[in-house]
Amino acid sequence: MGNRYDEEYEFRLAYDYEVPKIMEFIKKYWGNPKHILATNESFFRYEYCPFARPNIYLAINKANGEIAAMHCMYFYSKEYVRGQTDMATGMLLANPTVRVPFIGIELHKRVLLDLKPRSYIAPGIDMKTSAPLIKRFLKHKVERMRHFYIAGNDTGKISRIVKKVHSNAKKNDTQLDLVLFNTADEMYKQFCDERFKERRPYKDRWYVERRYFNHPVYKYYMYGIADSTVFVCKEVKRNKAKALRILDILGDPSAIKYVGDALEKLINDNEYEYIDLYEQKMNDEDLLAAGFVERLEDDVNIIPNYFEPFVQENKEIWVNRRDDETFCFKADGDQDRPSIINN
Amino acid sequence: MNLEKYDEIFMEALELTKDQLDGLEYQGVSSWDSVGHMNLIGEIEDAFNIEMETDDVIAFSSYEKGKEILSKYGVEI
Repeated sequence: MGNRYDEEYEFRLAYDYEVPKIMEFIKKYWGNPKHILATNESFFRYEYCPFARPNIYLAINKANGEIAAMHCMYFYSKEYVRGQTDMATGMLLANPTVRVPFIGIELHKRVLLDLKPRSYIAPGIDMKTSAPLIKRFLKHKVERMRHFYIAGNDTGKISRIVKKVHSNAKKNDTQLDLVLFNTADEMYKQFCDERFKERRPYKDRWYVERRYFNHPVYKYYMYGIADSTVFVCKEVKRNKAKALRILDILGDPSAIKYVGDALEKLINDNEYEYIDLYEQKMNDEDLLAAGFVERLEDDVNIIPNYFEPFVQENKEIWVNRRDDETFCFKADGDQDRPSIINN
Repeated sequence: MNLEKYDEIFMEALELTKDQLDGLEYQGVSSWDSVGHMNLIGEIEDAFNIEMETDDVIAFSSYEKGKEILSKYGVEI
């Protein structure tokens, strides 16, 4: 490569012994010294150290050995193969006093050039600082994730529904059940994983088990549709009310159109205030047929996104994808990470 | 004329006075951080109707260096 950055910085994957130094870097520069990744080494290691070396690239100042920038990643398969594995980005953080501008975006470029992921997702883009750089230097799009929901009968403790909106779309004549999987074995007996390796991103069994069945903090509800689709869901609670969030969809997301009745039953049986979903690339028609309506940017209705701590506001999630063929959901990257761990 | 325009951009984009420009470097004032740099480059490109290459955007490290870089694009300051 060889540009001005190479005169002063070394770009490389982190070593395990650097984890405490990386956590100190986050504590110093993220803006919140109590951030979970700055204070909880066990969780940090779960998040970014599934292998011998952390999934973190660093820009190191050659003169003093200090970290100038860090770039965290999630690999969606156990074996990383350049050109074949999909990944998502997590925290990207630069020392703001570094003497060369935009070292963060340069690090991001280097990571993509080195790792050559088949696809990548970078959700949670800051529209003021990162988006203009991504558009200019990477020539990638930054898009708003779309937010859909189905409201239950009783709302107001978590959401704020000022104007009740119903989908006018006709439900699909075929309606299928949602099957709850309690273990990965149960899931993979039904879900035909092999058929979906070309879908972007593809998450292998190692990733699914680790991320969803064995998460150290969250409990996920994994609902299957026939052999083609799995919804990854999580309950959120507040004020003695509950809502269900669909955070990821494995396999074929279009099968959502067959489960309008099942979703309605789920809401009623569990007294959910609503079910919501952030997504990129799904077809509107499929969502509407399932009974979802869209929460717009200037919507009077509020379907919250922040629960740790709770903020009763609509929040936009901006995402950078390299291509239009890649799905993105809220659990991609670090958008579904705990902020608080209650011991 | 170009110098006046150049100085005006620096002063507005970075909220500085003219006497702060000589010797000014990236990160030398709080307003010339990466966000300030982005804005500054954008304003310069618009004002002089140019589009800088990435290496030049990164190399644009001072008020003086910027003049050198702009000359590559046919803008004499």
